[in-house]
Amino acid sequence: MSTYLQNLQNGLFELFSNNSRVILLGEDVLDPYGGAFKVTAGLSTQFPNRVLTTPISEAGITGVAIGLALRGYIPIVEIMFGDFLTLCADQIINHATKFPNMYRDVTCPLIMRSPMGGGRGYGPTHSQSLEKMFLGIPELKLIAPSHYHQPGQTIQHIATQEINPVIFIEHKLLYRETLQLNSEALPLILKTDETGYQTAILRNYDVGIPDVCLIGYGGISRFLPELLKKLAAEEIRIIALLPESIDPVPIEMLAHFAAEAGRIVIAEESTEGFTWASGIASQLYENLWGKLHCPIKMVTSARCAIPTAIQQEADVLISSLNIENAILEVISWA
Amino acid sequence: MGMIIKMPLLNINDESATLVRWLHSDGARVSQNEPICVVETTKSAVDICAEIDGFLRQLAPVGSTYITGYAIGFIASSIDELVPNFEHIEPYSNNIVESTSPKWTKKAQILANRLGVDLIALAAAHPGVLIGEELVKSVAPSIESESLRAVNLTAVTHLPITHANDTHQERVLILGGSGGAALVLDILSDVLTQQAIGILDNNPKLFNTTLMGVPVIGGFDLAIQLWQEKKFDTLISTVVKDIADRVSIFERFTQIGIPFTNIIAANANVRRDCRMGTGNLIVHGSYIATGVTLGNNNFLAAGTYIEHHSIIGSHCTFGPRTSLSGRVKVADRVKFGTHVAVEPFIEIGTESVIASGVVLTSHIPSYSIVKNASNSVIRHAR
Repeated sequence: MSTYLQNLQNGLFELFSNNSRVILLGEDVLDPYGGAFKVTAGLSTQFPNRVLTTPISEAGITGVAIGLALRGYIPIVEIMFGDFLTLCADQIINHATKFPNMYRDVTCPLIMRSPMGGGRGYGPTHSQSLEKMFLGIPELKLIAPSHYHQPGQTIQHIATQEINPVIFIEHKLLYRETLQLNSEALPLILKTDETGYQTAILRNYDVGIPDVCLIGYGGISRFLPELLKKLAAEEIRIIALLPESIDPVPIEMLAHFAAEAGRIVIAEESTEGFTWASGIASQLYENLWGKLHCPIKMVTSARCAIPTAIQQEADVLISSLNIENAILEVISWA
Repeated sequence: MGMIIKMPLLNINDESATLVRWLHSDGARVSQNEPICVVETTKSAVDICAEIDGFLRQLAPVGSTYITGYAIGFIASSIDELVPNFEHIEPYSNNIVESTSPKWTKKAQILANRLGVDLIALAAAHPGVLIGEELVKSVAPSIESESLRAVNLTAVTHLPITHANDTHQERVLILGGSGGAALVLDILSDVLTQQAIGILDNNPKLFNTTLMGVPVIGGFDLAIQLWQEKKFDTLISTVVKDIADRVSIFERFTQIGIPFTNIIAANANVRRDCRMGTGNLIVHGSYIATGVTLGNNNFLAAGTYIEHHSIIGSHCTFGPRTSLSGRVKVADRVKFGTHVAVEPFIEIGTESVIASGVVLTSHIPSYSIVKNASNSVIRHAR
C-alpha cells in the first residue's frame, strides 16, 4: 500500500536506474528539500549528476530541456506549480512540438511534470487546473493519472514509448492519497485503451445496468471512494471512467461504457467554459446520438479566481457534492 | 461566561495539529495571554494562550491529533462553571449527518417522481422498511419508458368480439365530453360487449346535456362515488388535447384501483400476438400488426397503422393516418400529428412531439419537437 507520491518517487528511481539518458531539471529539486511536493526527494543524492537545480526561469528550463531532448536525452522538467506552465507554453507549443515536423531525423521526447489543482489555500496563482489550455495541440500529449492508476509506471511508460512532448499532470491533493486497488466494495479494472494508456473503470454495484456513467480524470478520483459508496447505499449504480490519457482521449472506450448508462456526467476541476469536458461531451453526442436519455451534464469549478481563504476556496472549486447533485439531476430526467 | 479552546488553523498546509502537552493541570487558574498548551504541526510547535482569565478544563488528551476547530479545552470563568454542551465542529467536511434516518433511498425518490408513485403513502404502508427501487417499481402504475418493460399488459390474441352475446355487458364510464366521447359512443354502437352508461366532464355547462343519448352526469370527481356505488365497471379517457392531463387522469384513478378498459372499433384490426395494457382507445380503420406491444392509455385516431413488433409506451396520442413501420419503439407521452410516417427501427424518446406530415428517418431523443419544413417555398419559378 503506497501513496501516490511514493509510487511516483519509486517510478522515477526505477527510471533513473534503468535509463541513463533520463535527466531531471527543476526549481528546488535537490536534497534535502527534494522539491516543493517531495517528488524528487532522494533522487539527487542517488543520481547527483542527473538532477539539476535551476534558476526561477520556467521558459529557460524548458528551452534547455528541449535542447537535451533533441540531442538524445530524455529530460523531465518539474514545474513547481502548474500555473507557471503558461511561461513554458511558447517553448512547448512553438518549438518542442514543431521541431520533429520541421527538421529531419529529430525527436523531442520531453516530459513536463507539474502539480495542478486547488484545495490547499495556495490562492489564485498557485491553485489552478490549466491543463485545458494545452488540449488539442498537434504532437502534444497530456497524461494525468488518478489515484486508481500507477503514476510511477505511467511515467516510465512515457519515457520509454513517447518520442514527442508530454505534459504529465499530478493533482496536488493526490500526493498524500493511498493508491486505490481493486476491492470488493468498489471493483476496479485497469484497461489499456486505444491511446495505449490505461482507463480505470469502477463500478459501485454487482449486477444490473448502470444508472449513470461518470467520467473524470486525475484529482477527481479523490472524491470517488466515498461518493460511490454513498450512492450505492442510495441504490444509484455508477460506472466511473478515469482515463489517464486526457489528450488524446480514448473516446471509443468512453462511448462504449457510457452507452450502457445513457446518462453521463463529466467532472473536472478547471474553471467553467471551453473545458476538457465540453470536448468529450461533443464527441460523445456524436457517438451516442439517439442512445442518450438526457443531455450530458458537465461539472466544473466556478469561473472565477480561486480564493486563498480555505472556505471560500471550497465554495468555488468542484466538490463531491457538486458531482453528486449532477448525478441526481441526470437520473431525474424521465 | 467561560470560553471554549479550539484547535487553531496554524498554517495553510495543515488542517489538524497534535496536542503535545498541557502547561497547566486540569482545574488550574490561568490568566489572559498566558500559554496554556503546546500544539505541533508539520512545520512547528506553537503555544496556545488563554484568551480570558479563568480555570482550565482539559477536554482532549495529549498525544492525539485534532482537526482545526476541535474543542480541546475550556476556560471556566468561575471555579464551579460547567463545561457547556457543544458539538464538535468538523470544518470542510462534505458529510452532512442526517438528523433522522431516511425512509427511502434517493433512487426510490427519483423513480417515484418519475413514475408518479406516492412515496409518503408507500412508506406509511411499509413502516420500518427502507423503501427501495424494487418496491417503487412494483407499485408503479404505468410501464417504464426506458426499458419498455410491459407491466400490466394482457395478451390480445383475438379480434374484438362483435357478434351478439350480451349476457354480460361491460358498463363503461366516459371521461371527457367533447369530440372524443362521440368517437367512443360511435364505436360502442357497433360493439355489443361494452355499453356506455354515462359521461363525466369538468365543464358544468355540459351537465345534464346528452350526447348521442348518453347523459353528462357530472365532473370527474363523481367517478369515485359512482365506483363505490358499483354503477360502472371501467373507465375510458377521451382527453387528448393535453397529454399531461391525460396522464394525470389515468394515474389518479388507477392508483385508487378504478380500472380502465380498452375501446377498440369493430373495424380496427388488431392482429394475433399483440399485447396491450388498459385505457387504449383505438378508432376505426386502425391496424395493429402482429407482435405489437401497446402500453396503457394510448389514443389511436382513425387509420393509425402500427406495423409488426413495434413497441409503444403509454399515454401516447396518434393523429389520423399516422403510420409506424416495423419494429419502431415509441416511449411514453409522445404526441403524433396527422399523417406522420415513421421508418422501421426508429426509436422515439419520451414526451416528444411530432408535427403533422413529418417523415421520420432517424431516432428522436426525448423531449424533442420535430417539425419539417416541407411547406416552405424552395424556389420561385419567375
